[in-house]
Amino acid sequence: MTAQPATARFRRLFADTERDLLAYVVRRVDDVEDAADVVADTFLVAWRRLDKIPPGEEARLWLYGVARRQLANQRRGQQRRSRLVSRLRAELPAAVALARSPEDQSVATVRTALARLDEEDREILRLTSWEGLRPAEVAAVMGLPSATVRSRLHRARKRLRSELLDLDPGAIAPTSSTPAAEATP
Amino acid sequence: MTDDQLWELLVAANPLPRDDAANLAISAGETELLTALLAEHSQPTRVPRRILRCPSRTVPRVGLAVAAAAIVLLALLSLGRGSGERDSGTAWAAEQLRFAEASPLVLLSAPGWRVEYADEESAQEGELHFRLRSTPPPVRRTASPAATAAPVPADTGSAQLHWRGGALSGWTQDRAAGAAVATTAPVLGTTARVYQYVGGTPGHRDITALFAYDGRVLEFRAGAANIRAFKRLLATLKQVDTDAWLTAMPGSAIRPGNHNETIARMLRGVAVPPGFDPDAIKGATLTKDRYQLGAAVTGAVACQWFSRWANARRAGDDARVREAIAAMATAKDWPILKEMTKHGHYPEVLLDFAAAMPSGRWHGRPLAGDADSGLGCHVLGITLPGSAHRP
Repeated sequence: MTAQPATARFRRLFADTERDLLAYVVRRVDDVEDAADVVADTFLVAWRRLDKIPPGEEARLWLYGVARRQLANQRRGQQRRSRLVSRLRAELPAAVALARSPEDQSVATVRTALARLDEEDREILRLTSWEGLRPAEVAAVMGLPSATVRSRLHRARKRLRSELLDLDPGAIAPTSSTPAAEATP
Repeated sequence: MTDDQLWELLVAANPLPRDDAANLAISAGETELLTALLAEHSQPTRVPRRILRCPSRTVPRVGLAVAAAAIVLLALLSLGRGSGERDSGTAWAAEQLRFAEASPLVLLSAPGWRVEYADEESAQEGELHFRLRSTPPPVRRTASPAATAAPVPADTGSAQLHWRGGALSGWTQDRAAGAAVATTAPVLGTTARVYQYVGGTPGHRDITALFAYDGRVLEFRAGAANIRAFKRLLATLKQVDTDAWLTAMPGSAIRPGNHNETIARMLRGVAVPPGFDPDAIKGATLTKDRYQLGAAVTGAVACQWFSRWANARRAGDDARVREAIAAMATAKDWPILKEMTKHGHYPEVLLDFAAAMPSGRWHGRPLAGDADSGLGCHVLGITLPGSAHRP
């Protein structure tokens, strides 16, 4: 790949995916400004491995996968502050604070219930409901077989329901057996 | 609770829904990141520092375009006349003297090095780029430590000197954070903090030196074979007088007395909006480099067209919308942009935005905000409706 097409492709990749990727990361960090570092490092990896990135929509999934590993580094305290994002790091907290709606009780309960799940269950639920990914796409991000994701999605929902029941019994009614995300694989 | 209700609860618990994320006012930071990433790839040893600022500092003054210009200047500029072509002892214009005297009057004295680019970002900030005369930009030199009479061995044959206000400590902390090696070196009668950045290859390291001088913070950065070679180059920084400094300026630097004439020539063949005032191009008088001045001039024209276009869209004035789109569609033929294409990506950026005018979207986002960030319209004093930036 020559320099010009590579640059053009990277610019397009960045334009098409950066905001979604940033949102993905913001949803998973404790301190919003840390998202800037994770995104910067993710795109640095993307730049260096541009030839390895699949085309089309799969590129977004590939980036989520890289960001997932960068987030793991960040949680282990292994991520340094990127020197590429001083401005973004400064802008993010206020911008995200402005965008966020006040948290009502049901939202707080769901987040608490999510926090009680193990990481894999939680991530499968977040990828399907927050990122809007189908099970096959979740599988690509998490490096799992699609069938495994489907079964774990089912299990994760059961566990989430159980946690919600534990936290707020009045909010939980009898269940149906048709997982919404699995209806659109 | 049904599964659908559970799903709705989960979706509602999303701390940053996609629509909200799309509206975050962070385009300046994103532009900075993209620019830095592109620079990281194309000039892995030097350019990111160009936009690296202390926390309190702002983005480059003309946004993506100028940053892109800086990136490419390092790699592509093959500027016209060297210092030898201008007679020493010239009766310098007052503006030239002011420019010189606002700088630290420091040059590289190592054999073969010349100034290839000079610019002044404000009365307190500016930069010089040096290139080893015998080193064509794409070719890397190898070190030859034994050749004492030969040019200082610096792998890339290029170096930069920045001067800025503020405290030295803020800059040293920032640079130290990304350094693999930290040391000190003598320069200009003081001691510089020297940092070799992480990465690079044996024989090609990215090294920078920071020191306080003449009431400012100076940073000298070069790609060098190793710290020893870098220190040798650093030690050749010398104080010079105003005449010597101005004599060393490259031919591409616009002579202040010629600004109006130069701008008028740049505007030939350019579709300017009604009422366009060349004298009101903000920052043009500070710009000493032809490429940078071209960016300011065409940026001012484009931003005014974008502003008219955005206002007309809001007002439902289809005729004005079409007029602006048609005017910007001619940008691909503007002579100054064609000239600038040889030296940088600014024209590409501008044409990308022009091409997006009919749809009003740029890679899925409203055009105005990105055009503003990319062209630095707010910095040029031009407001684009729909952009979060204000002049």
